[in-house]
Order: sequence, then C-alpha cells, then structure tokens
Amino acid sequence: MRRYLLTRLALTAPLLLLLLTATFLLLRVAPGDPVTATLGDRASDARVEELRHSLGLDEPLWRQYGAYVGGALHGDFGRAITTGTPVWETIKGKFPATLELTLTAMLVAVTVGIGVGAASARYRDTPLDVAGRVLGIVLYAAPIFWLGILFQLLFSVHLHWLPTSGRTEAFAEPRHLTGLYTVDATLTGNLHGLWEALRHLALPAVTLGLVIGGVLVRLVRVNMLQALRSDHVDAARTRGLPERRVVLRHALRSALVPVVAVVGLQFALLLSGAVLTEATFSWPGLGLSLYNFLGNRDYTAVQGLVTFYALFVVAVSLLIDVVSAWVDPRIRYS
Amino acid sequence: MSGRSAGSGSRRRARLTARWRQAGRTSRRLLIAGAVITVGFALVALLAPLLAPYGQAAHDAPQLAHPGAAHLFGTTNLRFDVLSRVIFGARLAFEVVLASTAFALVLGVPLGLVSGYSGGRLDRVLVLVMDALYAFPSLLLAIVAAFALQRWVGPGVPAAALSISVIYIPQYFRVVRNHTLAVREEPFVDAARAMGAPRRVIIVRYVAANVLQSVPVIFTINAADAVLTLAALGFLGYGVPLRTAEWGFDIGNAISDVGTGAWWTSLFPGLAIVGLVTGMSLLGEGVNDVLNPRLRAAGMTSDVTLPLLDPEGAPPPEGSEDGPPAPEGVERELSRSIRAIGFDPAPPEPPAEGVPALLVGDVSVTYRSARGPVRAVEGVTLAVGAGESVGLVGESGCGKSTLGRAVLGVLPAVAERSGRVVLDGVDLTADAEAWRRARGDRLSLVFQDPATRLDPLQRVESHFVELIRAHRPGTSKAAAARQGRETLAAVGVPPDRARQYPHEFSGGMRQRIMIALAVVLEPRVLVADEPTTSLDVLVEAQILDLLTDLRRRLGLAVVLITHNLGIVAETCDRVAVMYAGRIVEEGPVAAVFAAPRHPYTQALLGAVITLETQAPAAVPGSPPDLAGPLPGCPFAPRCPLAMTTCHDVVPVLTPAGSAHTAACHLYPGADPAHPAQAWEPAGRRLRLAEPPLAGTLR
Amino acid sequence: MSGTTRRNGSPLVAISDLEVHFPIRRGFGGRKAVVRAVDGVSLEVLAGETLGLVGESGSGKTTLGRAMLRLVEPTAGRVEFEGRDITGLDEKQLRPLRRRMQPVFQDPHAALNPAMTIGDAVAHPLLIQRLAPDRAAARAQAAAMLERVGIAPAGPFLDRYPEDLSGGQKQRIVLARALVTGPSLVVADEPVAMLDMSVRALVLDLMAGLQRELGLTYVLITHDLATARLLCDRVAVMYLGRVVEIGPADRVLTEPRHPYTRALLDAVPRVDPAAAGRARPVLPGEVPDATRIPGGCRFHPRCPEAFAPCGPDGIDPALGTVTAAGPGRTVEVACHLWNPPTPSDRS
Repeated sequence: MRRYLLTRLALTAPLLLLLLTATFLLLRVAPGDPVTATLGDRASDARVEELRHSLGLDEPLWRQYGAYVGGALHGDFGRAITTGTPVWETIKGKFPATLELTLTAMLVAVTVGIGVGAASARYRDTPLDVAGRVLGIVLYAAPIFWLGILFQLLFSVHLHWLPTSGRTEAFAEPRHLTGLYTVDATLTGNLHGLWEALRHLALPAVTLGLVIGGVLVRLVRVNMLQALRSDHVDAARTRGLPERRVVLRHALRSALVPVVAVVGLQFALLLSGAVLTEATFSWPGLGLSLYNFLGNRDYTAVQGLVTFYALFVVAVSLLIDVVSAWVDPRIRYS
Repeated sequence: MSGRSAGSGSRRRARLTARWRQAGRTSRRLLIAGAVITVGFALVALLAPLLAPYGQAAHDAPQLAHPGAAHLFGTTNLRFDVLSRVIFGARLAFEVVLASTAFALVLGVPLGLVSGYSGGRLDRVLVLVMDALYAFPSLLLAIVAAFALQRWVGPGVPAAALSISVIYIPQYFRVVRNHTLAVREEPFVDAARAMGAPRRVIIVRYVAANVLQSVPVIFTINAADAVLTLAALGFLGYGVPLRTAEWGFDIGNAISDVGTGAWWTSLFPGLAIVGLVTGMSLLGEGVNDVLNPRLRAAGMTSDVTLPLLDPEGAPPPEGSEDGPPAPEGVERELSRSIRAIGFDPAPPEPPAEGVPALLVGDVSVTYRSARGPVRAVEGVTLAVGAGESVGLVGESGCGKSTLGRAVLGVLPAVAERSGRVVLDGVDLTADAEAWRRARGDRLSLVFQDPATRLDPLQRVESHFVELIRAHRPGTSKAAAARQGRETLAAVGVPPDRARQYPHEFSGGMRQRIMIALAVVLEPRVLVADEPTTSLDVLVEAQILDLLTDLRRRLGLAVVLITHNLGIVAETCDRVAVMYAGRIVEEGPVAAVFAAPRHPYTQALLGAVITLETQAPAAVPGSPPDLAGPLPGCPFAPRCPLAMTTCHDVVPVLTPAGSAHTAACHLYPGADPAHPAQAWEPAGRRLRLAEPPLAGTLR
Repeated sequence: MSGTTRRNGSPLVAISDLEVHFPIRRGFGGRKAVVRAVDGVSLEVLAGETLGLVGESGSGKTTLGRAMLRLVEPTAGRVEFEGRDITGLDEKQLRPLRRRMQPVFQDPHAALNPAMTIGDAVAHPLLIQRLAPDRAAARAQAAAMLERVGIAPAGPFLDRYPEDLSGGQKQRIVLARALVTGPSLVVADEPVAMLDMSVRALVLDLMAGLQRELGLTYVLITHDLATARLLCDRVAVMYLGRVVEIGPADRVLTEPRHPYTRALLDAVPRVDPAAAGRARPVLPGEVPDATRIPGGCRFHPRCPEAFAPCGPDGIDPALGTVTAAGPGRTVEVACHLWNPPTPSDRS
C-alpha cells in the first residue's frame, strides 16, 4: 500500500506541473499583455505601466513562469487586476461555500445514482429498468442552469417555499468556524442559522446533485449488470447464499469499485456544474467569483482561480485513487 | 489495397442486420426513439429559415409577451420571438457540435492509434498531456479556451467549436488508445507482423479497422455532451456573437425574468436542449447495445446464452501463472490434517438403503433464444451413490455443463427446466428455498476457472465465514474462520494465507481454495465442472488426487464433468457419455472403455490422442443444431452404421452388454417395437420408478 | 505418423545461447524484476523434421517459438534461419525472410482479423510479399490454398468474415494463411488446444499431410505430450526457460531420463481402463515465478531425486549427451544424475 501511494504521488507531480504550465500558457502568455487585455483602452499608459510593474508582468516570461509555479505551490495565486486584492483572499472566503455545495450535491447524486442504477440493473428490461434508464438520461440531458431556473420558478416564485439565491438570510449567518454554514450552525447550536442555511442550500444542491446523479445512474447500471453476470457472483449463488446477500454484498460491492474511480472524474464534472449552479443561484462561492472575473476579463484573477482549481482537482483525484486502492486489493497489489 | 467487393459489402450489411435482430427489444426501441428525435432536430436545424415565423435577430416583438397566437412560445425581455430563437438555436447547436466533435475526432483518433500502437516515449508524453486535460473540469477547460481565444478569434462558430473540441480530443484519444493497446496484443496483429507487413499497413488494416468500430458510439455520446457544453458556454456569455440564437445564452438572459414569473423564456430553450441531448444519448446507447455484444441484453438473445452451454476449456496462456509456489511439504501434511479435523476416514453409510445420494430424474433444459428454443438437455436420468464418482463426458455443446448447473438449480433466466433433482431422497425441485439451502451445504459445485470464481474484494477467509454463517446461523465468526482454516489446511493451502486475497494465489492454489469452499460443510454431492481444464498437467494430477481423496474420506457422490476421457478413466467409477443433450451410453468405466457399445462412444474413444495413439480418427461431421427438430437418433447423420430406423425413431437407453446401457438401435432392446419406445413425456416420467434405473445404482 | 517424415539432417534453424528477458517493474520504488522467459537455450531444428517444444505454463516454450520468428527481440544469443543470423536484422531486411517462416496460433478465434474477409486474410501475405501482381491474382492463389487445407470449394468462403465460422474451420484458414507464401518453417503454438477433441485429430492429420506434400519443417509448441508423441520426430522438454531434455520423441517420451520429463509423463491421464486407479507419483508444488529462478539446478526444489550438487548453491547442469546416435537421434539431458558434475564445473 505504501509503495502504491508513492507511485501515485510520483505520477501526480508531472500532472500538476503540466496543468500549471498549460494554465500559464493559456492565460498568461496567449493573451499577450494581461493588463491591456483586461483594462483595454480604459486606462492611461502610466496606470498600465504601474500595474504591470506591481504585478511583476514586466519581468521576462521565464522568470514570471518560475514565480508563478513557485507561488502556486505555496498558495500564492497572484492578485486580481481589477480589484487589486490577492486571489488567495477570494479563495479563502469563497471556497467553503463551494465545498458545502459540492459535498451536499455529491450526496444527492450518489443516492440517486446508486439507488436508481442498481435497481435498474437488478430488474433489467422491466418497465422499472426503462424508467430508470430514461430518468438517468433526461437528468443528464437537463442543463443545470435551466433546471435551477425551473426550480426557482416553482419553489420560490410560485410556492414561496424556498429562497432563490444566497447562502442565508441577514442576521442568520452562523459564527465562522469551518466556513460551511450548516456545520458551523450545528457546532454553535444555532438552530435558526442551521434552518436558514439548509433552506438556502436545498435548491442549488438538489439541482446540481440530480444532474450529476443522472450520469451516475448510467454508470452504476452498466457496472451492476456486468457484476451481476460475473463469474464470482454466479459462484456465490451456487454456494446457496441468500439472493439479497448475493446482490448487495457481492454484485453491488464489485460494481461500485469502478464507480468510485469514476466519481473522482465526476468530481471534476461537479466543479464544472458548481460554476453554473453558483451563477444561477448567486451562491457566493468560487464559481460565482470566477463568473464575475470572467465577465470583467480579469486575466490574472482568472489565472489564479484556474490554478487553484487545478491543484484541487489533482488533490481530489489522488484521494480517490487512494480510496480505490483501499477498496480494491487488486489495485494496490499490481 | 483496392476497395471491397460488392460481396463483402453485403456481408457486412448482413452482419449488422443480424446484430440488430439479436439486440434486445428494449435496446431497439430506445435506439429508434433516439434516432427519430435526433433526425427531427436535424431537420428543424436544416429548415430553420423556412420554419421560423420571425428572423433570429428580429427584436421588434412586444417585451415578455405571454405565449399566444402571434407568438406561440411568447417573447423575451429583449423582444425576441422565443419559438424562432428555439428553431434557430437548433441550427447553431448542430453547426458547433458537428464541427467540434469532427475536429476532436480528426485529432484524437490518429493520435490514440499511433500512441497506443507505438508505445515508448511519445506514448508516455501524450498520455500525460491527455490525462491532465481529461482530469480538468471540462467546462472550465472550455471556458479557459474560449477566454484565451477571444482575443484572437472573434466570437462565432469556429471559436465555439474549437474551445469545445479541447474537451473531446482527450476522450477520443483515451478510448482509441486503450482499444489499440488491447488489439495490439491480439494474435492476428502478430500474424500481420509475421507476414512482414509494414507498420503503416498493420495500423490501418489490422488495428484501426477494429478500433474504429467504437468511434460511432463515442461520437454520439460526445455530441450529446457537446450540446450541453455549448449551452453552458452560452449561458456564461461565451462562444457566440450577440443576437445569434443560442439556447444556453437565451436561458442565461431569462434569469432576470424569474422574478416576474415569466416561465416561457427559459422553459422552451431548455426543453429543446433536453430533447436533443436525450435523443442523441439514446441513439448512442442504442448503437452501443447493438455494436457491442458484450453489453447486449442477455435476457433475450441467443449467442449470449449459447456459450453457457459448455465452456470448453483451454490451457492457460504461457506465463499466466503468478504468485509464489506452494511451500514444500503441503502434500505430505494433507492426510495428517484431515484426520486432525476429524473427517471420518471411513465413508459414511448412505442414509437409507437403496436411495442414491443424487438422483437426476428425466431432466430437460431448454434455452429460449432468438432462433427458437434450444434443447440443451433432453430427458437425462442419472443416479450417483455416496462415495461414487460418475464422469460426464462429451463434446462442447453436448449439454454436460448445463446439466451440472441444472443439478445445482442455478440455470440462467432464459432456461426452462423440467424433471426432478432428488438429493438423499428429497425432491429439491419441489421447493426452491430448500434447494437454495442445500447449495453450498449438502450440494456443491467446483468450477473450471478458479481465477474468476472467487470474489476479488474478499479475503479468502471471509468467503468461508460468509458461507458457513449463511448455512449454519449462530456460528461465531471466529469458529467459522477456524473451520475454514482447517479445511484449507486439509486441501493443501497453508492456513496462514487465509487472510490473503484471491489474486495473491496461483491457479492451482485457487482451485484448492474452491474445493475447500465446496467441501467445508461436508456435502453429500459434489459437481465438478472441468475442474482441471485451466491447469497444467502436474497441478491437474495434484487436484485430481485431492478430489479422489476427499471423495473417499467424506463419502462424496461426485459428478465429474470433463471432455478428457483420460481423467474419467483414472478417477471415475462410472461414465455417462452425452450427445446432443442426451445420455447415449452409461456404465462402469472399465466396461464402457473396454467395450464401448454406442457408435458415438466408439468414435469418441477413437479420436482421443494418447501416448500410444498411432493414427487418431476424428469424428466426422459436427453435432446437430439443438434449435432445430431432431427426429430419430441425433447421432444418425454422423453415424457410419446408421439404418433407416435411426433417422426416424429416437432410441432409448437399454441394456447393452454385461453392465451398461446404450441408446442405440443396434442393440435388440432398442427395437422400434420395444415397449420403451413410448417416447412421450408421460412415459418418460413413469420410467423413473422402473427397474432399469435401479439397475444403474448397482 | 512419427518417423515417417523424411529429413535430410541439415539445420534449418540454429539457436545458440538464446536469452529473452522481460524487465518488469512492480510499483514505484519497487524492485525491478526480470522475467527470464528464455534463459540460455541452444538447439537446432533440422530441415524436414517436426521438433516439439513441451513443458508447462511458464516454461518459455511460447517465447522461444516467438523468438525464432523474431516476433520478440532476444536479449542475447543468436538465431540463424537458413544459415543467416536474423537477430541483427531490421524489419526491412527481415521482410523477404518472413515469407519463409510463419506462425500458427493457439486461438483460431483471435488469430484472424475480425474486420477482414477470409479471402483477403489469406491473400494479404501474398500482396505484402509481392508474390501476386494484384488483389484478384492474390485471391485466386488464396482460394487454391484454402482448398488445399480442406476449405473446399473455397468460393463461398472468400467473402465471409471469420465470426461466421467454426473453430476447426478457422484453424484451417490460419494454416492456409501461414502456408500461402510457401514457407519452409512453421512454428505452431498449441494449434489444437482450443479445438474440440473430436476435430483435433483432423487438424493434426492435415498438418502431417501438408508437411509431407510441401516438405515443411514444424516447430510444434504444446503442453500435451500425447500430441507431441503423435506428431514430433524430436522433442525438447523445457522448464523455466531452459531445455532440460532433448531427443527423438520415441525415446524421450518412452524412456524419460530427466526427473521432470518423467513427472510430466506420469501425470498424463491414461485412457486405458486397465490403468484405472493406478498409483502414480504426483510431483508437489508448482512452477516458480520466472523472476525468481532457483539457484543450482532450477528444478531441484521440486525434484524427488535432488542430491547435494543440485541444491541452491549447487551447479547449474548443462545439456550433456546421454546416448549419441546420428543427427536427430541423440538424447541430451541437463541433469546431474546423468551427467555427474566434474570438479572443473565448480570453478
């Protein structure tokens, strides 16, 4: 297991460097000069020069590259041109919101995905299976922002059950500990805060979770079908184990091994989805910041955020691989 | 190479038609639904200027008008007609999606082919780059690409297509490369190398020709995904110039309408997206179901179930063995530990005089298939006493494995069984739950391929704990684990390896583990289906000795299914020869092998290649199609001695020679006038109680 | 069949000190291991004979066969084909030789390109080797060869795809493809192992007939001693990358010298009913991992007759002549029981 970890870590380094380099090339080198690209003709030459100098953009490219990679590895993601604030400050403030949203959405997605997918496979070719498959496809086919708007129209505008945007009401904000409002409210015993946090979280998390769940339905179903037909599940049946145990313990368990691996990749999908969800529900997370920076054409801020996303994705995929190896002994053996 | 001849083209069409027919009904319906939807959208896109009531950039309608006669889908806050925008949106979607997936295909497929076939440094670098692209959130990737491109390429179809294709290049690359890696190892590629074919020719004619079959499937799936990505880009304000109709962009505009309760501005473009993506996904899944037989519906097809009839074994490829060798002295310890765990060295007496441990009474198995019912097993009756071993032999497809599974009661869903399976005088076919409880307990099965039969995620020990506790509720985990270890020791697996995982054992060791699982609850009957076919000859001898030893010590009734007549001769008391689902000859091994009566048995023995064989004679012809009608003796078409009767009248098992029976008209008992010729279900069931059966019990 | 084929005694293939090693790496920072698949083999294949390579999985017999055809790169040693060293040649130089040496594979279902019709599959080698002016001529030649292997009349088969055919038919087509360029050497790796027992005899009989008609030289790789006995003039018994015994089939497989050969022969189940219940010695253990080859004689951990010089610190026995006779009739064994080590070996 330790050897596997080392192998996996060693593979991470070039991946990370590659992502950082690509980000640098695309967002720093390709646009030419980020300051003029960002400010356009709005700024005077003197202002541009001053900004270039303060952001280190007047240094030679290779030196900028070195500073960028070194900074990224130390948590320094540069400064936004438009606001002048360090990108790290933005990340620190907004990331917990994104984390809370994505984790809750993942919970919804996994519940829907495994439930519908496994049932669909178990009762293959019955009307239940067809319904499950079509549900999975339609959920996948629904654009997140569209589903979000429909939910807003129905649950907020029409029924007045849930709020359309934000993370909580004024004065209901819990004391910040982790930055996850539901957790903070629970820890501080702030029931009103918890209630408001959950009410605000419900629509964005369900919207995002359902769409990702649609992808998982298809994945779980296919893997479950293969697992139900696999030799060792057949062998478990010939040993007279109760059917429930054969399906849940043997088939579902082995079907979930590849799913865990893919959930790692779905996490990337989840982050993409989070950008759209946050933009739709004005959820004050990283995605919304990115959306705003994109709108302002703030190249350095976008570069900083994208770099953080890259680091985060690499970390998550590392984690997922370790979990896979822990679940499946064959991976850590080979 | 010149083009294919007309003949091969029609063959190819025929092949597709056949696959289409074999695909399940559900798959076919989903595919048709997907195709209809997709084609519908394509037509709308093509005819957009004719269909749309207003131009896509015409913004002179009333603001936010409800759907009505003038504007069927209402209007937007920018004074666009929603219906016209939705129709023109289809056009843009098709343009961008086709351009981006085509671009990704042209780059990703050749790179994947070359990278996968060549390997080496180029491959490693490409894989790293593509993996990095693949791991990154796809939408962010497209956004970054669009963001970086916007300074160089103005917004429009090329910019949108380029930024989206960045996502799909790694996807094509990965799929094609992985497929190429698999195909590269196929012997036919070796054959091409051995004929001196240049690399380019091998890649094009041998690798690509096979790999490209998976491209249509990824194409449809990626196209569906690209529609969503385009919409997301549009929603965020990227990709297309202002005023161009784009579904995502229009939904983005509609966000501000939410407060006013105007639902139509977002609903209709969104429905269009859902419709098109659903259509393309259904099409992709359907095409996959039809082209990729492995994932095809097993429920309703023929060629998925037919290989189940009789998996004929082959020796493992060279070098496939892994894991450390067995420690020395395991063999010598065997007898000691069996005594140590208290196995009775003397065979226990059968519970009642005259009742066989296993009685298979007139069992027939029919598979439903696309070609009609396949009669895999036809009226087989067989009795096995305690401590006795019966060899079941025949060519592949003769139904011997199916019979083995029928005894266990674990036939696939497409099979229908009739007849009885009686264990120690108790009819299991009458009670499914009793049958289930008997499996793994008093009735157990050992498979051909131990490599795949153990749960890879479970330690060896926990297989035992699970099995013992399922059949002996109340046993503690510790006691069950101890019992498992003792049995492992008894079959020659070092018990201190019980906490290892199955893949850490060699093939021979795995088969010992399978046997230990089969005997841990001291069953009455053990069915062994080609237990040594995947093993090397020396390990095979070890396993056969182990089985014989266990049979004698535990008084097991053993049914040994094998195609190897030598194994039967050396380890079985009696032999039953199967052909076309029926037993055609049955008797003591010595009698049958010394004086085979049925012409099929004679031919089979003649075809066996032994160390003494001078000139083997193949059995001419091939076994009959079990899906068709089989009048008369099923062997008649291949039989050198066939008479007219043989083609019309089905022979039944009758005494032939001193101690055995044969189903052949050559023997007087099988005279067409013989009363046993009443070959109808009722008659067959009656015969169960008749003396000839008792005779087979000795 | 054995012994009836003519042979002229000159070597068609001469292999000397051949090694084929595959480096593998077990995880990052894990030890690098080397699979010594073929680990020092010298032998000759005589023109017109059938040489059997027999042994268990992991013995290196398949790799040795592939090395003869240069389908795998040798790590060390030489392979001479028709008197020419082929180990140093590049693909272009090899091409004209390739038509003279051809493989037949174990799995007929995987040996044919599923995307190619039967006619094209058999005609393709002719086009590659420029032995036919155009596709039509190549297909005509292919049809003639197909009929020769019993796919007759060939016409209806030319435009069919392999998936429509049975295993026995496919194996004949694989044979036709191998023979269509007029090779002198055919390396057949378990040609009948995947076939039903009722058709094995048919394919083996066909192979023997073609050998007589076309003057072929066969290298037959098999785990089945009975098949080897039936078809081979000589056999080489392999264990863990080495040849441990080589000689005429009728000698080696009737009076085995090496304890491993004897164990293999003892383990073959006999169909003779008189042999039922015979007590046969069963060799314990399994073939070790080819990355960890035991020292001394590599068979000693499983050998019932191992004695001091065989042990882990003992001497690796070399092939030595036990009975000398004319070319093709000599028996050589790598065992200290038959060729006791001399003091000079210890240095």
